[in-house]
Amino acid sequence: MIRAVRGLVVGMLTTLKYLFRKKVTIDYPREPYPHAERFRGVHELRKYDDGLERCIGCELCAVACPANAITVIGAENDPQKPTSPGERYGYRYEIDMLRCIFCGWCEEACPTDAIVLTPRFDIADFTRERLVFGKDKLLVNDPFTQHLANTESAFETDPGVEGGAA
Amino acid sequence: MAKKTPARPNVKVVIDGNEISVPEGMLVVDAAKLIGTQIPVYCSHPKLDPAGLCRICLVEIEKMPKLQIACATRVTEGMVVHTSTARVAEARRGVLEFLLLNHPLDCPICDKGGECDLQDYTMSYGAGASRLTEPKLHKPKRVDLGPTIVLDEERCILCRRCTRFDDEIAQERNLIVAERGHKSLISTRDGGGYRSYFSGNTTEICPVGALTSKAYRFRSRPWDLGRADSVCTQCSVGCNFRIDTRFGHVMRTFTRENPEVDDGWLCDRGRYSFNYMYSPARLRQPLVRRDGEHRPVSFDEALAYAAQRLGSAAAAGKVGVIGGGRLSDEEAFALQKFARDVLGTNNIDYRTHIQRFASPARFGASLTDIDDADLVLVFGTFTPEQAPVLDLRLRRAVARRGAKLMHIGPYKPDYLVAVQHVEYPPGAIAELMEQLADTVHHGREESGDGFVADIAQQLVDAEKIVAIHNGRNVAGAASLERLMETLARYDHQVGVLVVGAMGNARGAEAAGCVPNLGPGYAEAQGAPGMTTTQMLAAAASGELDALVVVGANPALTGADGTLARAAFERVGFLMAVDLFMTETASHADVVFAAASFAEKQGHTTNLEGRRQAFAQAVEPPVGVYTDSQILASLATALGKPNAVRADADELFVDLLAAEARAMAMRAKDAPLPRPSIADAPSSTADQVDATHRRLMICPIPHLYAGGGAAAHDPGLAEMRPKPFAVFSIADASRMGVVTGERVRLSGPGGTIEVEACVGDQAPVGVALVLADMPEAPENRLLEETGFGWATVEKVAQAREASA
Repeated sequence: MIRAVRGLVVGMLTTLKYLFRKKVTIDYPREPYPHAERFRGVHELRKYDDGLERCIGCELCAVACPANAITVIGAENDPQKPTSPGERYGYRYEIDMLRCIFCGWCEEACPTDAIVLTPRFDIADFTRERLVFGKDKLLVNDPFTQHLANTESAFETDPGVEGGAA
Repeated sequence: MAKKTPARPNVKVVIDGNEISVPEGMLVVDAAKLIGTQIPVYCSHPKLDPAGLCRICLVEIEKMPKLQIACATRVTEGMVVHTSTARVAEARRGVLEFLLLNHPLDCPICDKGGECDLQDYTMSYGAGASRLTEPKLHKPKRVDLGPTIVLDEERCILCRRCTRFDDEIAQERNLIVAERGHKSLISTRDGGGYRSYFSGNTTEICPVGALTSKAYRFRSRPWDLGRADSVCTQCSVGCNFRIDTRFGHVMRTFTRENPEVDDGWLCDRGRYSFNYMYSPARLRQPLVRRDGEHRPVSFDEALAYAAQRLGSAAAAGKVGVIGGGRLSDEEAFALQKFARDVLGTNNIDYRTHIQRFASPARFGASLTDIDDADLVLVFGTFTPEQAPVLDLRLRRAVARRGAKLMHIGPYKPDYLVAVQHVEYPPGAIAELMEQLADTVHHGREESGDGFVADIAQQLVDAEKIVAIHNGRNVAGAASLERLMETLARYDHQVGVLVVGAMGNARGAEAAGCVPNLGPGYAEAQGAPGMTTTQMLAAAASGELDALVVVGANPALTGADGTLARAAFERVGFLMAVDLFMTETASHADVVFAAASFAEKQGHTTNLEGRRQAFAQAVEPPVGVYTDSQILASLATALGKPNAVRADADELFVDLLAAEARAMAMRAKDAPLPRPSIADAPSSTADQVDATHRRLMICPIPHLYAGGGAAAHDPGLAEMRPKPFAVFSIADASRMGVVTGERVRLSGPGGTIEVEACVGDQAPVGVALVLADMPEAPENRLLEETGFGWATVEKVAQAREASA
């Protein structure tokens, strides 16, 4: 009997102890879940500060992708109204989020740091079509990752020096 | 042949410890290939002369104090070569560092990235990092070199492959390296655009991404591409190429070297004509004419309508079938089977141009015969426009080996290489050939005519003679055969090539698309059929109730365009199968949409008679079927379900069986029988005109002319010529016409407006008019002979007269 009461009290003491501590659970959909900074979630296509897209449509992300989730079609920039610095830009850029395994190889392959994986992860939806993300969904300037961006435009960058190869 | 250099003695060389025996004088780089050692090269190309510019191929040769370039060093007896020593590696690293000093390293956006020699060798032999700390030299990145090519000066490593190609292979000598030192850049001699029929080849031989084609610019990366081995069907040479596709679309074409046919080159017409497949003007569903207008209908509906109309015409025996020269061998076979077995008629003919036969009955030559010919005799055809890749062989033979090129014809064509022009009326070629044969036979003394004796002497002096003509002049070809036979009797090597007007003219002829011959040149059974001209005349006079035109456009390309148009307007029922609403299809009651060459598989036969297979590269658009599928469905709708097969493989087996039967029936060594021809009435037009404004019209070909696909290809739009007519200086000054003026040519069949050109190609009294242009169809002026007469007026004058 005493043992039983003792057990109850000890148990309730634990409860009491946690009652006054900081809560571990969060009010998830209303309150963002803080991820590690390098968490690999939904992708994002970044821009330079001057508004030009970083993506040059080189398809290296697509060829690096082990899940074959990325499709890129490049096109030639209009020299008067360029979409990206240089001659080529990503005319179409699609990631099939259902196929993606969030390994981050696309990020590593990207020569211009255009594609990055953000901590965002909640992309549940009701149709498969809506989970194929095009440039409309990927191309954003999220302040969360902007500090990762190399701020100067590629117009001033000498790729030979920066690239370092050969 | 006495002039041939004797075979060189073999010498023993040691390359990387492997002893091999190779002919003396072979380049070290080629000898290394024989033992499987790849020495890196940029400027060296197997088809081009050694240049020794890039220095990447440095190798160590014993007893030579310095490293030697393998691409320009020839092997000698006892030579010992090392290709992978530390000294060689060090040299390669240095050369690569030097080449990459100012290279932009924009591989991610470069079209060559992934198939670039500079990338590959840098990965294999490069240093890994540059020691250059200064900023790189920047040069223009998007230099418009011409209608097809973009130059990136930063990427260029100045290997000069492109300029050497233009110099040695195309013989055009327009591409040059301008400026000196670090300012060197690829440019054109005249400062204008790089306009060449072979410009696309420079993008392919460029070892880096300096020259890229506008058609493929940034459309894809090499690793994305699906590949299908195909054969070009644009002309009768039949160059081999690879079709590269992505997402079911054709992205580009790439050479697939066949040394016996194309020697690794393609012309721009063949290389860049594929975008017509995606033209909005392309037919994507069958059309039926109702109330004078073409309305899209379902395939079954079109089929039922066509079957009903064709059935009644076939029952009355009043039906004709035209076409076959643009189809594959299998489909040409299906077409003649459709005509003979389903419609029950021998009225089938592939000849919708001025061509009358496609194979030399005897003395057939191969394309490689041009390479070592001493004399090439050309008449009726102009090879740079009609068979460009054949012309490359001709150019090389004449310019590099000193072969003689002789052109016989009514006008002086613009050959790039030295040509001996014999101005001769086209109708009299048979006579000339007979005279030549007699002169060759009897010797020079007995000949009367000076220039005939002169030509005969050249023929006698030449050991190997190749004649190239267009298969128009039947009497001329027969006389040519006699001449060839005479020459062959005196131990000359002789050969004849017939340049087809359509890509698969020879295949269609062999498959039996001619009135008197079935597959394999067997005599056709039953009542003799009509030729195209006879069918058109019969249709125009109401004797034929129905015409079926498959992959042909006689209203634009037929010699007598007036007759063709009259026939199509008059005939009770016209069915057309085509990719586009052509001049012929626009008259049709039913038009079926056909698949293009990239959307089907089959075989095609080139002008030598070489049958080559081509694979399907992409799927046809939904609702578009191949010609054989359409014909098979139509046969079923006509109540003969098994008469024509739809499957290309099955058709090919049937074709081979039919040809084998025909071959077994024919006597050995017998010349191939000729397709029957309609007797053309000779021109009765009075040739003298008081105003001196009446000129003989002679159509001239152009590589980018043509209706249908060529007219609707956005890739060819910039290269397409504007309709023009060339007048001799004497005629032009008499008529007061200057270059650039608009003139109106009026003949019995109508009037066309063209731009005047004054040049010495045209003889006095002859106007050379660009052929096959839909906006100014020259065949309105022509008669069935392929020539015509027209009155020339300046457009301004004509307006005054009408006002």
